[in-house]
Amino acid sequence: MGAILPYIATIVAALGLLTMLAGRQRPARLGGGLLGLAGLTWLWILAGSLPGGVEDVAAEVFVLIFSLIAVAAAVQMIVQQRPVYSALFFVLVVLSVCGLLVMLEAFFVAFALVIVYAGAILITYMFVLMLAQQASNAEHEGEIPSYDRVPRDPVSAVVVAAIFMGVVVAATFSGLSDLPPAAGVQARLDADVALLGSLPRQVRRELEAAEFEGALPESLKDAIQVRDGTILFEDADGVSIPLTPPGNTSHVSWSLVASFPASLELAGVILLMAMFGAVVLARREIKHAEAELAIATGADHDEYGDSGEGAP
Amino acid sequence: MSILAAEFSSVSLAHMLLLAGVLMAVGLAGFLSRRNLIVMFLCTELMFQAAVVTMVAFGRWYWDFSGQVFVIFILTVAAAEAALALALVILLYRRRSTLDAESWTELRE
Repeated sequence: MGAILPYIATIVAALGLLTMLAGRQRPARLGGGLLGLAGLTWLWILAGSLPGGVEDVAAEVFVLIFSLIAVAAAVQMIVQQRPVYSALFFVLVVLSVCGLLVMLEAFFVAFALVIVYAGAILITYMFVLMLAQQASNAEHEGEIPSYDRVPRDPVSAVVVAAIFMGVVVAATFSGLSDLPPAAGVQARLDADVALLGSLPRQVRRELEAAEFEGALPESLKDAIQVRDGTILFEDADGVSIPLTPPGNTSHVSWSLVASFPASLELAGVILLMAMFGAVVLARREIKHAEAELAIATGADHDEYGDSGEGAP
Repeated sequence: MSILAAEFSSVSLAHMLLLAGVLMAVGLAGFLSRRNLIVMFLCTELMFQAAVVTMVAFGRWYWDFSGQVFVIFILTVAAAEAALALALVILLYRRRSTLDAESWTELRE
């Protein structure tokens, strides 16, 4: 009996989402939101008893707050009729996801997401939205076009989403106990020691700050030890100097350049090709320049539509 | 061991996975039900966010930083996708003067 409870909670949440998508009146939306919230809260409580579950209540409160904001903003994003509001709610999703990443100790990635996603990518979306909105609002003042007001077949969309969520729930509730145990304090210290062993310059800087005069040993890895949870530099003469463990950014950047150098190059190639692609797509517009002028000055519309290659 | 690691040592993996699942499902529902081209692309970005949460949560579980490195790659691909997709959307918008995805249904045939 207990095994089907998570699926019932998923269905309740899906019904809430459907009510919010299909019902465009305020009471329907409010009811749908409450129903969805109830389903997700139920799922959240059920998941609390899984392995790898709640140990630290204070951290979990922050996680709960950020998750609530993320899900609420995501739902608002797909329910909002005005696309600009959708984009703004997506910024809220990104910010709360970044809060979660901070809780997960992924500091570098969290701030990169804020800067690149919320800062750059979303601005591009806003530009395009404003561009399109401005042009269409000139004809129907302040009116939301029907393709933003009426969703396309919300029932089957929510059914597909609910089936997907059911698969995720099944995997989470039955698969988590098969996972290897989480990396403990020892694994973290091992990772810190391995990284410091690969960074002779940083170690040397710290040793110089501690007024260590000798030379670094041939194999730096063997000279770095862990005693009682602190990382120590110990050489053959019995010198013992504590080292600060490397931070999240050091770990991520080392993993990036040491484990994935080819992927890093490929990412550069992808960006370059995207830039070429965008330039090629944008260049085609130069041919329309006169027709655009005609539209801007309120001349005939059809002439403009026919000027693109292959346009009907 | 750093102080921060001691403080933030236990975020529930199950909750992170379920949150990622919900974000992905909401993005999927939005992608299938919205008709505005730009909002459809925004929904794919929402699904990227779900993938980011999963990557980082599992990376933290195993204390493996590859998850976070992959988030950087996701960021790259998302930026490239945004540039190209939005250029295409503008192109399509100029042809039909509408952002309605259903004005392009003849592409199905």
